[in-house]
Amino acid sequence: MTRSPLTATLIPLVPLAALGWPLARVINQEPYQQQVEVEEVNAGPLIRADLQITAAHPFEKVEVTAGDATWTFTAHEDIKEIYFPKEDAVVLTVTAIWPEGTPESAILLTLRPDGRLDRSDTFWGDLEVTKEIKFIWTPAP
Amino acid sequence: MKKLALFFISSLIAHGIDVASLHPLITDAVKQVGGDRVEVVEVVKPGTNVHQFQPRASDIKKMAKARIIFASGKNLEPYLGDLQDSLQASQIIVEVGKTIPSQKVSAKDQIYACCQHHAVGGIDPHWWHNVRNMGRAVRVIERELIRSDPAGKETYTTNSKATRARLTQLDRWVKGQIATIPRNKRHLVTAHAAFGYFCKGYGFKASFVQGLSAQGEVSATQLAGAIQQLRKEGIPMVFPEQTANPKVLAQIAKQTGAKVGDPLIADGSTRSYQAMIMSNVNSIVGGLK
Repeated sequence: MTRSPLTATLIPLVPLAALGWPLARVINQEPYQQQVEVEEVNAGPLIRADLQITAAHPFEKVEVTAGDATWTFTAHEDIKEIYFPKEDAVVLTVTAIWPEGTPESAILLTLRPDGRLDRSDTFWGDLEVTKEIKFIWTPAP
Repeated sequence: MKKLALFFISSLIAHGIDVASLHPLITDAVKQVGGDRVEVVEVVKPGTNVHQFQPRASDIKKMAKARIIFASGKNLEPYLGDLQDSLQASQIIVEVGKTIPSQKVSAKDQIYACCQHHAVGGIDPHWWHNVRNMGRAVRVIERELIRSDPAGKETYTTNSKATRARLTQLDRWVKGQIATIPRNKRHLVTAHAAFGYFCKGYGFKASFVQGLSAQGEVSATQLAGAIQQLRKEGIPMVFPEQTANPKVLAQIAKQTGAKVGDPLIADGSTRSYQAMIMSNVNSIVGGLK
């Protein structure tokens, strides 16, 4: 009983393929880049940031607008992921609405962009208030 | 039997994802954010020298089930490239400190870096000494856990919020304690340049007196200069680090008339982040006020 020439050729290749497949996966992996430099963090045109709200009294709604984008915080939310153009400053228009009967209250707004230092601002109001806040990052010397 | 089956099923449902951690402080944060849904393999255990750790084959085996490998980042783990080569394609490495604003070790302080390897590029890897940075790290962990285990989003979001609230309280406590030190005494003298984030975040002037590696290789001239500066400024206390050789620092203290304070935990190789911060702050405040 003899095998066909094709089968006889392929059978020895099976262990080679079994070894080669996992090796090929390892070889084809993209090289890992150590993420050290700050500049690499914000490679695209936008900067990702965490926008956090700390309120002295429960609020109904807080809306934050940067350029064309608006993010709405409902009463149970304290943090959101936002994106803004990679520039040295960002202007946020913030509207806060408190329930009837809330005394004059304060909201602390903290912006933590990836690779940049935190910026924060506190504003006061009652019932409804709108404020424009500008955060600036001076380029490193 | 029915109860046992229910317990088994509920534990299967509760467990969402396996991850691994390459730094004890990250392990603490991942456990807090992940809660019962996350099984954390502690590859680098408390007490390990995080600057010298190199994963062995047994460590890589331990990580086999982990979908995410959390690292501290900022070049604290120079072996990550090699580690990635040993992992499966489905496993990802997340450098938790990547998006935290970096502080560079200045050229003049380069010789005081914690070790030769981590002076490369001049980026200080000890970002965790500012509590607000740990808050950022917690958000990174939350996002990555949600990305890999979307079903656990509610758990991760709730736990992250609670963890960040505890960190905010801790940050306030740190500021309150530091406020008891007169402003002109807020000068932290340590062996190596490991407390830059702490000093910048909490308004301290920083000085380092011991050179590369824990063996103390500062030249005699530099040592004399440091002694002269400390004498001139009337520094009451210098702080050793738990993992560094205290002999050189003790010698400097002797010559300047300063006392040697309680050792600080620089590399975060400890089980509890909160305990580390409180221990360090208590030592600093006790020594300087």
